[in-house]
Amino acid sequence: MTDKTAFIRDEVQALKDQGLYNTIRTIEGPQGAHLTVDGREVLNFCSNNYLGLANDARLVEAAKGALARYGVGPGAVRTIAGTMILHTELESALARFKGVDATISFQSGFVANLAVIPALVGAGDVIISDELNHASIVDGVRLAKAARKIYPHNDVAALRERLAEARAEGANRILTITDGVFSMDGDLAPLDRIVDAADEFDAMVMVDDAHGEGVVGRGGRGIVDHFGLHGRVDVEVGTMSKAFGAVGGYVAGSNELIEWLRQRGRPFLFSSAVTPPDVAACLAAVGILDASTELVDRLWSNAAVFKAMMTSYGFDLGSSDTPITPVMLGEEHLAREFSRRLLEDRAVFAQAISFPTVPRGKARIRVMISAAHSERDLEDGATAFAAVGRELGVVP
Amino acid sequence: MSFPDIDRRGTRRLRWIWALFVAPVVAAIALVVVVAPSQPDGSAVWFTVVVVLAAVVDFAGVFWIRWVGAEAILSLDSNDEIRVAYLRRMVLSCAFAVTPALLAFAFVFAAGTTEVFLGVAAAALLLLAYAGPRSSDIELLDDRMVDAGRSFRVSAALDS
Repeated sequence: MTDKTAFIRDEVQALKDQGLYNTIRTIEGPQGAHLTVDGREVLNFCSNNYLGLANDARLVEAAKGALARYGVGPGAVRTIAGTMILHTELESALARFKGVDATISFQSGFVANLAVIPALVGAGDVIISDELNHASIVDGVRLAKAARKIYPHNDVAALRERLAEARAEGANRILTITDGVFSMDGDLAPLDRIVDAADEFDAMVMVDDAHGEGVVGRGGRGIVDHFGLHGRVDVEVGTMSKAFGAVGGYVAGSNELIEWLRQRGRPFLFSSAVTPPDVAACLAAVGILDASTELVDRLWSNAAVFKAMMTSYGFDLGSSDTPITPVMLGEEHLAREFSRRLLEDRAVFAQAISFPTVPRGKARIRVMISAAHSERDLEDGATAFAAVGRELGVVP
Repeated sequence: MSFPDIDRRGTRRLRWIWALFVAPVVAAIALVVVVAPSQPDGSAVWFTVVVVLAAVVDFAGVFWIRWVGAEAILSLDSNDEIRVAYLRRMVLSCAFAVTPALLAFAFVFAAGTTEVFLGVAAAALLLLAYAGPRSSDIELLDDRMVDAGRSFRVSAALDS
């Protein structure tokens, strides 16, 4: 009898041979500025827990309260019996926070992208997507039956050419998609100019603001708020799994858009709703951000302090406009060794990012700054970077 | 060996290069149809054998070049490298598709092998359509890129 799954062993071995195999570390305590990894406390520079809300007492209490009141599970998909009052409260709170007509929540930001793109465009339509858009957008584009055009990263002139081509080719609907904050470099999309270009060609604009929600804009209201584009961006996709500290995703936009997604967003229709404690935690997070800018301000202050220290040590921090801090190292093996020494010798958990996630020769360590970091944490982290940087000849 | 920077917009600007291969085949067909030799001479059988053998080898070469070229493209990283590799694959495979047709054409007036030429030319045109710039071909390569954990790299390279 043949081994029908032998190909998996071969593929996994190939990943290992190519240095592309993901080794997954297990965290043995709550998220925060410090983590317990392999029984050892380390300084956490890896998480997307921008505001430190993942283990915030207010979110924990909200989740506990929801557990006691609503139980652990939603029981069904949203369209059958899974829509609980918590879901609608969260969607209303998010709509108020974002300054839009309505929102619809999903199981994750990834799922939100898979839901919204095929619901908006299909055969005869064209999607125009930034070359560095997130994998969830790539997969959403592949799910849709629309033709696709890719424009160079943040190149609005090239985007305008693609829009003109799409119109000339007789596209029915055109959907322009960009990340709001690009997670590998921390740079912002030029959303104001993208919207102007799209308007010129009567194209829809969708922004995935997973790394911008809770980070950019007034009080973390996202990139649309940052550029003052309220009412001009057709689709905003956000996540509750990063700055908001919990889990889930959402789409924000007009009443018509949200109504349409309730009818045609396939993950909304065919996959169970987010659990009550998760939704309650999200709701508490939105409340915290709505009430105060303190955490967002601290996040940016921390990022400025850390970047200044790292720059003074001589590190190349790329072109980040946000708290995402890429420490550019170039060669893959150097980035991996740098990350290993940080963790093993200095108890600093900061992950190396290399090909194929970023181009060859542009490997880096991506430092994720959080409002949860203290000044001492930032100093300790920068000092550890400097020490390893000197050992490896990266900085003088 | 370097190729011109055919730059942007996917298949759009590749079409003129592809048309350079299609044009001589179409022109040859037109010429032969208008001025067809009346009778094959005594050496037609040998010319036919040569043309058919060349066609078999060259047409197989089209598929081989495209396969090797696709593997090369998938291993590359920078937009410039991918763009040149895509162009190289397209030009070489089109050249292999055209060669038997031109060979057969050369024999038409020498040996009167009109039917042989028309058959080979028709096959060459079909192969040129397959080997030329096609959005579906680029999307297939893009999908393989995505399956390997990357993004729409080929589209990005040809559009950059």
